[in-house]
Amino acid sequence: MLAYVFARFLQAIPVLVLASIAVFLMLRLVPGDPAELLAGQDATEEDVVRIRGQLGLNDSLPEQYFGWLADVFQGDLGVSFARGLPVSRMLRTAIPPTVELAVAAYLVAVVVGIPLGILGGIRPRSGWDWTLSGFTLVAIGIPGFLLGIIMLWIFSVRLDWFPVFGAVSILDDPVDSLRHLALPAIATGVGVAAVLARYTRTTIAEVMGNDYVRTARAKGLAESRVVVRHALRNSMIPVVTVMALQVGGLLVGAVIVEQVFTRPGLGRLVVNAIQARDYLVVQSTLIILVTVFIGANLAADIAYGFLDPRVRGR
Amino acid sequence: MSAVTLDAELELSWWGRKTRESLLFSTINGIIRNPQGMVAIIGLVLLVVGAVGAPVIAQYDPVDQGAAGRFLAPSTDHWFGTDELRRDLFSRTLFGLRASLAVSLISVAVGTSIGVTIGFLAGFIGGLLEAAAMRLVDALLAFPGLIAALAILNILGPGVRSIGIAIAFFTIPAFARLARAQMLAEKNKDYVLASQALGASPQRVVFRHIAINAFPPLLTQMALLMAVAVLITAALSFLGLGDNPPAPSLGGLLNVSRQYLREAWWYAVFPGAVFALLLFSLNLLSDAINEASSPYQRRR
Repeated sequence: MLAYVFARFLQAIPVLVLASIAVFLMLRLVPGDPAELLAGQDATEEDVVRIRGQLGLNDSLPEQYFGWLADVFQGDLGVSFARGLPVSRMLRTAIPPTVELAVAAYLVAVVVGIPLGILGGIRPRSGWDWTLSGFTLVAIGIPGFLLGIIMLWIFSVRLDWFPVFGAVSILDDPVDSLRHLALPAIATGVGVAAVLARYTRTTIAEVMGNDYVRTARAKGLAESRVVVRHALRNSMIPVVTVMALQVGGLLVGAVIVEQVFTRPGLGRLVVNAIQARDYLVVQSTLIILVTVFIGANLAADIAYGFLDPRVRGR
Repeated sequence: MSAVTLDAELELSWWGRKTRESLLFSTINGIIRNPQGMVAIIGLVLLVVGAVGAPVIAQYDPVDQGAAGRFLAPSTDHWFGTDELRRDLFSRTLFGLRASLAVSLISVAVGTSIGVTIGFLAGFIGGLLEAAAMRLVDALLAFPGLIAALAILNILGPGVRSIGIAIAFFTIPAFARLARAQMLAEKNKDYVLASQALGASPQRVVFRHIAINAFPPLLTQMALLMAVAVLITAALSFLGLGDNPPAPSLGGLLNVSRQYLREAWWYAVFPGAVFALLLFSLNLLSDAINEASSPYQRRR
């Protein structure tokens, strides 16, 4: 098992390296002199020269890349020219609200998606199954930000049940934080819930047709025990993988939904940065998103190995 | 050369005269017979007519601020009401739809052509080229489209053109992968060998014979990617990264509408409904094409 985990980690490294090279080259691909771009429009000639020195733009590209990588690993992501703050500090304030939203959305997705998928899968073509089909059709068809606007209109503006904008840290005031979090979390999570429900339904329906399920029933086991002990265990393997793979999509969804509810976070940070052409901030946000994404894929692989002993041998 | 074509058609004919016309025809037939497909087609025809005919259908100029007042509720004069600058929202929605569809269609078409060419070449030639191209494609496919789109917007700056390039860019790997798989499945079939034996040039073999048989799966993928493209275009305009005001876009309308939910519910509801109808139709259409072109994949 340890060897398997180790091998998977090793396989993730080239992907990370490739991604980091892509992110590094991004700034060099912008038409124009990177130093002038980073200094901003109001910069003096000295600023440009100073930044050129900082970035090591006079070195060869490989030297620049490794220098940049060393800085990143030390937590030095540069200084935002638009705001004059260290990028790492901006990220430290932007990450927690986004993580709170993503985690809450993930809970929504799992709590709604998996039970619905199980109910639909146990009895195909039953009422639950039709509910499931309707739900997935609507949830996949309506993107998170549109759903967010609809909910904002109904629940915050008309009914006044939830605040219209902003975020409160869960550490400061848990109740108020949840009130701010509820609608964005549903808007972000419902699409993922639909994907999970679809997968769970398919795998459960498949497993329920297997001989060992028939055997379990023939032994006289209660249906609930057949489902929980026999069918669920085997059908959850691909579902867990899909759950891990959805983390990236969830994060991206959160970034957009933040805009609907005017929540501070990575989404606001990256959108403002792109508009202000604040390259270093965009670059750093993308590194974080990409790393989380690769990490989630890695976690999916490892979880698969844990749950299904047959995978490890390969 | 006509002998080559004839030969290919004979080879195909043993499973029921599937010449290239009837292959396309049977796919279209299958879509129309499927209720989902019919709904999708009706929805899309409505929307495309609205988008293409926007200059004729809309009674008002989408950027003209001369309408009677701000935030007029929907009426027979202004079907979707008016906005904060006294513009007619029905016109703005139609022209926004037109813009969103144009960006998505053009960029998916460009991305498809490049992706299919890469995939066909990789599959047909094989060897080192194939290995290198496919590793690159895998790397690109590993990331969600929006992250790639943000990176491209960072390089090129915000704007409609950048969004189009971003969509074309993430369309390429999806098509390259599929086209290669199609090529590998087709290239050793008898009709290919036969036309090669008759001296057909590689271009002719790939584009006249293989491409036509590989067509239906690519069509499914195109409908699906159109939905993704429409979604990403709208999401990016919604974030405020794609518009050149005062020209409208579906995402842009939704973004501004958010600030006026209290005053004007119609501002969000009508453009949102049009957008949802568009996504629904495209999703249903790709399902329908998929079922029509591969009968054995029909739902159990």
